[in-house]
Amino acid sequence: MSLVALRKVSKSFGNHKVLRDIDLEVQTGEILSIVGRSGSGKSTLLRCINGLETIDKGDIQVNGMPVVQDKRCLQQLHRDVGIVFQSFNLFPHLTVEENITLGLVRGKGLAKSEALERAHRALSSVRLSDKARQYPGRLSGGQQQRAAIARAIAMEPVLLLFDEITSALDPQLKSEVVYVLEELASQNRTMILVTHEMAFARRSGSQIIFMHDGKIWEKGDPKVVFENPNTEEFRSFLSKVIR
Amino acid sequence: MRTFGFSEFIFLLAGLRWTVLLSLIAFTGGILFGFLIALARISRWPVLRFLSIGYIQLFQGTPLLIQLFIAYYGFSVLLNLKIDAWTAVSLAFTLYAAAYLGEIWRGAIQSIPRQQWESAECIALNYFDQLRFVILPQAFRIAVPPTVGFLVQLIKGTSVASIIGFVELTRAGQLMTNVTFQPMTIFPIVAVLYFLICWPLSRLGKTLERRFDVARGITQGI
Repeated sequence: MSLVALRKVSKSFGNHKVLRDIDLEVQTGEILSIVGRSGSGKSTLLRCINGLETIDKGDIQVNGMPVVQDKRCLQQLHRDVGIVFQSFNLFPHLTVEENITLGLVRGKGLAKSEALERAHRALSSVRLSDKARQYPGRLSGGQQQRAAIARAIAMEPVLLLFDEITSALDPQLKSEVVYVLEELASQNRTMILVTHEMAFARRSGSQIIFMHDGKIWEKGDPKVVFENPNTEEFRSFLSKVIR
Repeated sequence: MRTFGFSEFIFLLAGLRWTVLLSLIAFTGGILFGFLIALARISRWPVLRFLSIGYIQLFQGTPLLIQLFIAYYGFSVLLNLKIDAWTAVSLAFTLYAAAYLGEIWRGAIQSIPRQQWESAECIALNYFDQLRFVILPQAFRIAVPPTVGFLVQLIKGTSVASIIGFVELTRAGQLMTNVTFQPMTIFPIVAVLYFLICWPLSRLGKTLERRFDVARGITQGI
């Protein structure tokens, strides 16, 4: 059974249809990249998968459970699914370490000592061990984003969602975050990324979808899809993104 | 006729004691009740939001003096309940402070970016924990200066209680003026006494504000 399954998912903001009949499946161990212009519905799609947005029609299943707007269900979903945002969204009043242990202790019910251990493991995997006691405001953008990634992976989720996590960073900081992404990819984690990192999507992705106007226009193995786009929309998108 | 001397000054200090005590009661009660008002104000339940908005509008839209009159006379007239000046002023000032503090904190809580709520939700915190560990600590930092500012207003505002015969600092000043006919000796002293309490508080508010920012290394826009 698929880890993530969307059937005929539709959503509107007022009269604007952001998602139209989206069908999608992601298997355990897969890396799905969602690409498209801004406003194509890709971030909304990602947010629907972990219940941050409600859907109007269709259904979404994650890890065998339907995603429904119910407090208990959503809390369980968030124990299983981690997300990293474009704007980091670390808690500025907590140290990096506390940012990570908060969810482990209050969300997953781990003991403080175990949470700390996990936090330090996660921090070392994003090479941020020396910043454990710092407040986010003292870190660079790249460091903040790596701390946010550590916060998500420390929860040991079955699925990781990344919402344009490199878009707010300058090129050098981008590359340090992409490097972490590559490492996560090599660990066989299941990930869904909304991204503009075409090189990463091509190299490490197992599936790619191109979204335009709330619909999926291309879907498949990135190595094939990038070489032979089926639609004019994707071709024109690629010609603008890759120079 | 008496002249203003040591014993008259002591009488003012005795009045000052009630001013401070009334302020403390109103502030403590206002904090507790105002916190509930703030929570109700941001609640997902429309009924709670509606009731708290109504409450805040009512207390912010009517003069404090009228609220005092109603607290003082209202109970005896409407409920046939004898209520002393102390209870009346404590009650009125507490309800009044709760309305303002509730609104101050509502603003502080809502000034925390929506993404902080989302982030907290996404690490599987329940609503109460989202508030407790993520939103309130940040809102607190924002709320401290206006809260201290309101406390200063409240302390000065207690002088209104003199009108229903509650002998706090201002009323004590009036009484001493009546027996000494030295208003320009007494009222400046009264003013200085108020100032000696309010000024350090204002300073404390500023210091706290600065300390939070430095300790946390918080920059804007995170």
